[in-house]
Amino acid sequence: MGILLQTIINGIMLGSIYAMVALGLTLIYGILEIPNFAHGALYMIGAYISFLVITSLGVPYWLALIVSMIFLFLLGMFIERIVYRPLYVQPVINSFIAAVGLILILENGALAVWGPAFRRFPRASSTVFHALGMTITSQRIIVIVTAVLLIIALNLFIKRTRLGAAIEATSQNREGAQLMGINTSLVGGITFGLGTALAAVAATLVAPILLIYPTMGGPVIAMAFVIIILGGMGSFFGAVVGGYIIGLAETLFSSYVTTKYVDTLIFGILVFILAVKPTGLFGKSH
Amino acid sequence: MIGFLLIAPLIITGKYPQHIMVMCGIWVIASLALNLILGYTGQLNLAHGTFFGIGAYATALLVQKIGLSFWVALPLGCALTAFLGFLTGLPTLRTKGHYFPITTMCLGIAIYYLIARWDDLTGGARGLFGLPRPDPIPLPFGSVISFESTPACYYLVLFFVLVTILVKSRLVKSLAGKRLIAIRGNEDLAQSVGIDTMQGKIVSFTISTLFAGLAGGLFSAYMGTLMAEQAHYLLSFEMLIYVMIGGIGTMAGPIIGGIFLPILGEILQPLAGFRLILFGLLLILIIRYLPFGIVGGLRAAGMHFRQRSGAE
Amino acid sequence: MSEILLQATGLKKEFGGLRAIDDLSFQINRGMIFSVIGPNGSGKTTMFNLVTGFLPVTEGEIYFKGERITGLKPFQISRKGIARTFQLTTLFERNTVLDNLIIGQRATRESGVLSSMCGLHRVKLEEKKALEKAHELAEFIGLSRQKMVPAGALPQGAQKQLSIGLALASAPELMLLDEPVGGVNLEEIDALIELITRIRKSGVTICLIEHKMSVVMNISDRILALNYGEKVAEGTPEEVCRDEKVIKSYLGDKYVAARGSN
Repeated sequence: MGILLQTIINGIMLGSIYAMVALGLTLIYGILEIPNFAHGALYMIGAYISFLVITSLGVPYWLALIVSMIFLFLLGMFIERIVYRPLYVQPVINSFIAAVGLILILENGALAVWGPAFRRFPRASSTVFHALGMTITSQRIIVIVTAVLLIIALNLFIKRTRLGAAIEATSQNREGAQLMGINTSLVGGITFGLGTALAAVAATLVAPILLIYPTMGGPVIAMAFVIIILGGMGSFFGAVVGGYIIGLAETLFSSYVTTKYVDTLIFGILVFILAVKPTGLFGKSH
Repeated sequence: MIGFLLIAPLIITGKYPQHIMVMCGIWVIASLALNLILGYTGQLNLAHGTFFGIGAYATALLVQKIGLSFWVALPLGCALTAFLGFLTGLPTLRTKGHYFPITTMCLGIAIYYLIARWDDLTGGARGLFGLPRPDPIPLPFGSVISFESTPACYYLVLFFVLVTILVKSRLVKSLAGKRLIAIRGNEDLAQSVGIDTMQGKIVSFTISTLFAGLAGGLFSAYMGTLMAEQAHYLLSFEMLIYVMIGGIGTMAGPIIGGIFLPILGEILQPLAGFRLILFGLLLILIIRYLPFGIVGGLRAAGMHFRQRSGAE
Repeated sequence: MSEILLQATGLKKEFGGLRAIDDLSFQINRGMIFSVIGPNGSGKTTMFNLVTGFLPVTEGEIYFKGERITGLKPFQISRKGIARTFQLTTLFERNTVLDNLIIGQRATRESGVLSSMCGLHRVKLEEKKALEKAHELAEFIGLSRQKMVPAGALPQGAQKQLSIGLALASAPELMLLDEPVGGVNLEEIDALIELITRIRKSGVTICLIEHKMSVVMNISDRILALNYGEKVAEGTPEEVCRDEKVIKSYLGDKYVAARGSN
């Protein structure tokens, strides 16, 4: 019983990470209609920035998280402006190819600076809970709580603030939003920054639990894409729900069946679903 | 040009340069294959490297585990890869626009993990080693062509490079090739003139994976060892770079890309990680300023000069 | 009376809650020029998309030469002998005029991949014939001097000509032209009209969507008037232009009232 509960908690934790990453990705897609292939690499940079700030400047964990968030917000806006924006008029394939270039730069940049070794990440707190036959480190709780709070905050931001309304409007109908006087380019850049910042938070939260390494973005981004394709590209709800479902499914499957072929199974499901319904389960009709 | 290629190993001696030439040949075949689905049919297959790996493993396993001769294993390996390409192409090519690259990327990762973890079959993380070179070909009068030496392998690869170029150039110049180009140009318009775009995409994808498998099979026989890395998406990225920088949608582009970029990569080897950073930067710059690569740029320059000199 | 080429019965098309086409029935006979008119948003292009398979019908049936074509994919409908152009001039822009005219032909879509890779003599013969036909088509549509120009570099009028030529290349029996003279100047209109008339003379039935009333009245044998996705009138040009409902749909109730009875 304890094992099951522990597994479920782990699943929710993993789901929180996936949800945040997928949410960032889906926000970016909703506004700019480009799947940000480099999202995983940016996620990885988020973790390393926090790592850098903590280890070389001795900054406490929470401050590092915020620093990383801000840094990646700005980095995201920079990338949108410099790399992606000139390519909007070209076919989508070219944005993908540019993203591949970005991934190469970011992953190998991290490799060059920090080396390929897996690094240990200092924890926010080391308390360990024992309850109901489970052993949970506080870090996992922190992940889940922070994620939920952030997701709710983001939802409120979009629904209740003017900037949020502008984001919503631009993602629904770019031209219409422009006609209403919204600076869609700026909104696009900000949204990109937001999505990237979310990824930074996710990475920093999970870093103490899993080790960090330069290619850590790969599997996460692939899973995030599975999630938003299944949940519907551009759908807030789909990304969050999908994230938790996949997180739970992956953890349960790993624990009770085998860790070996989890990824293959999940991607296999993706390919199967796309074969049947090429626009994803709840997709916006684009 | 062909003459130079034929006598190249006699001029360029030294194990290392000759090794590079063989590898370039293999990359050229793989890049030509990628260009077929990407440059001529307009679909970005990010699992291309994975199919290269599948071809490599298929041929290697047929030789090592079943004991077939390389000359039988290679065509079988290619057929197997093409078959898998066909099977995976059916569901994935139904997706529209953005979804296809993502789906192939996920597919590539899934197969990579499969190869990396299926210890019994593929040797898992350790990989396969001790793969033999192709069996010697007997000639009349009792002598043989042996493939132990690098120059011999070079000629083998060169042979297949020429075959690939021949087949591909016939295809893209033919009416069937025009179908593929139409699919790349505008799928709806192609449909409206009666072209079965789904069929075209699947055929192109299958042929592309077949030649990827060919390159992979040659790789495994030449290198003698094989690791899961040969099926990683990083390989897909590298070949994408060769095609994009060389010139997408042209015959010469992948050839130029497949020769100069690996050479550039080797030269920059001491820079290790920076090499790939440079390639990444190059990719972004190319897509932004020279989307048709070197060949495209040369053509545009050529047209520009022709216009200016008043030629009609 | 000549044979019925295309027949639509009870067509309905809904997008979510929006009904774009409602209970539309009409028929096109062989050899005629059949025009579809109506204000913006009345469903003309949607009707084209339904007939050519680019949109699925919600209800209703479409028959071509007596055969049911409802629900077929666009390329299948094209192969039955129906060709179309698009409202927004759609061409293979990176390819030359000649290439465009080669791509559109039946020979292109039927040529085998395997035989092409083997370089069979038969394939080379097909290519040669397709090239010759492309030259003839270029002559026919009046673009013989621009054969090697990339389609995207042509002026608007020439692009319209080429898009018609592209549709013609597949040797159709019925051609659906969506605003063939949209956005072109007066001289180019004459050239295009002349082309369309020549195509009809060569035996192809034509159905066109057009806004320019002078053109429509001039060349049509029969007109279908739509408004809000429904048929408002169908008949000869004289009948339709006098029909009160048609006038109302374009000019509004007040105009009709002001004119009084005719």
